Amino acid sequence: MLDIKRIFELGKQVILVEFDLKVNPSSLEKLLKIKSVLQNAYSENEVEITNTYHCLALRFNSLYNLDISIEKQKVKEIMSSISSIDINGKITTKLHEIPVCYEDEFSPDLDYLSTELKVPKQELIKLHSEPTYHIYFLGFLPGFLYLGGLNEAIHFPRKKTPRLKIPKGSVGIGGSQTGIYPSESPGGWQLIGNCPLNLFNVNANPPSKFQAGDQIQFKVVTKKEHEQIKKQVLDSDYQHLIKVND
Amino acid sequence: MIKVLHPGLMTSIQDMGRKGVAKYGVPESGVMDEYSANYANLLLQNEQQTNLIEITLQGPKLQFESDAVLVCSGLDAKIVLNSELVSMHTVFGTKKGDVLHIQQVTKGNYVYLGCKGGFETETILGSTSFYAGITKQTQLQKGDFLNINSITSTEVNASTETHSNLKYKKGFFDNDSIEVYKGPEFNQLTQKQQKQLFQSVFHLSKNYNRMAFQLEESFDNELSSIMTSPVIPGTVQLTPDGKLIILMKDAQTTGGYPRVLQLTKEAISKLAQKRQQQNIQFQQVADVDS
Repeated sequence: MLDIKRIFELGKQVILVEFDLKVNPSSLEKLLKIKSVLQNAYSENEVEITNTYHCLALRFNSLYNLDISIEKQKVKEIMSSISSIDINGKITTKLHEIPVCYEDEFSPDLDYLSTELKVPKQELIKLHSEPTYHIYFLGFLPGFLYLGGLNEAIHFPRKKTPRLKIPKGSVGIGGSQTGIYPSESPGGWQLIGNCPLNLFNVNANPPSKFQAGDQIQFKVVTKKEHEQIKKQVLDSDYQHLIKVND
Repeated sequence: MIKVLHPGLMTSIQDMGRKGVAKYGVPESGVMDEYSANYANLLLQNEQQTNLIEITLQGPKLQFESDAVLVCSGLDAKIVLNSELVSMHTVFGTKKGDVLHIQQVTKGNYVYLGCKGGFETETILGSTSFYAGITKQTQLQKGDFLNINSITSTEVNASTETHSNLKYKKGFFDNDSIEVYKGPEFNQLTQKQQKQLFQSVFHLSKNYNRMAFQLEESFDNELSSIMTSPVIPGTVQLTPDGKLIILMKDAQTTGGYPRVLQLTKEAISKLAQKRQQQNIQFQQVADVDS
């Protein structure tokens, strides 16, 4: 029922629980429910549980003494005690409305993609901004969201030679994935837009408003609106729209 | 207070790293060689989490504006206080006006300068460890001022006199073996590849930093990338072009390359101190999983 593939010790500080799952929103929901059952068995100081597409990682705090084999046994017992009741029913997630400007200044690869994919620019923007994306997890860079739900018509390989510097907020396509660079970084994605928000703020608590399981809806904005929002963000005077899904 | 007269090659503040922030995609960071850092804090009777100055190859020149109790830990370095040589692993005191110069790390890559009480720098997400985009600074700069966390004078006296007889096991770093467990994708390697991993002698390439140590030798590889999965410091990744990359303290929290081995905690400290020409041989410590 849980489709557990194996429970694996990654060193003496981390336990991986791997699942045989297809990557889709219902697998994600199931994974997050199992994650919350496991997290309830441990304090957050003791263990941080993260997820990827089909894996949970129990990251034990190295400042605590622990015997990983005892913990592994405990995890096995918890996993076998999970019933369908625990993983049925809805979890509370959020829907974030994220402004993105697709205009020329921010989309150096949009013309190229439009030509190669044989999809008109406006249609490409529509295909990118229309779907509701799911956040599977955060990784790669602080505040970087792994999003699922990119329309197959606009899947496109990464650049052969990555750019050395990609501006903060850049929205790109890399293979079957799309995402936003939360900070300036090198990278190989095809750039089609820019988001004026701060996706990650070390001085805020929590530093990211986004969580695995949440959803993203892009909202097309003009260059002028982008500029305005960016200014408001700088003055800590902007909050993107968040809807709570019960 | 301490004034940075010269920052050295890559000098940063590090502690035991950030815990509980992988969910935001934030790396752990923290000292590269925990073994040496822990020893410095032990000699100073500091808490294990107390931060230290991590020095890479060429060290800083520091001027003390107040009294401090210090110790250097690591493999070996040339350290001069005013004009006197200072020994590794020996607690010493400084007075106002003293100049400490850690001229050269002569063995290994990293040396730790520990201070009784630790250094008062900004704590971000539960740690003072420098990391680009998390802390304002990524390395110490010329002209920086560092405050020392205040301690009572009785503590100063106690720490200079005790603990000097603790042993630093130098032999800890003196062999080629890097102890590992099998990684999650180890069993996807062919028998030949598995043998090759444990029987070959590897060397560090010139690409090594706080994020990852890449090995020089290429490795026959037909394994393709995996779905992005959790990784931690000490995870050994095998890239599609056959390079082995060992993730270190500033590593990402997720990765898409097959994870063939996992270093023990001690092996991360040992590897951190290896230099380019030195031999590296993976040695399996236990069959953790099937």
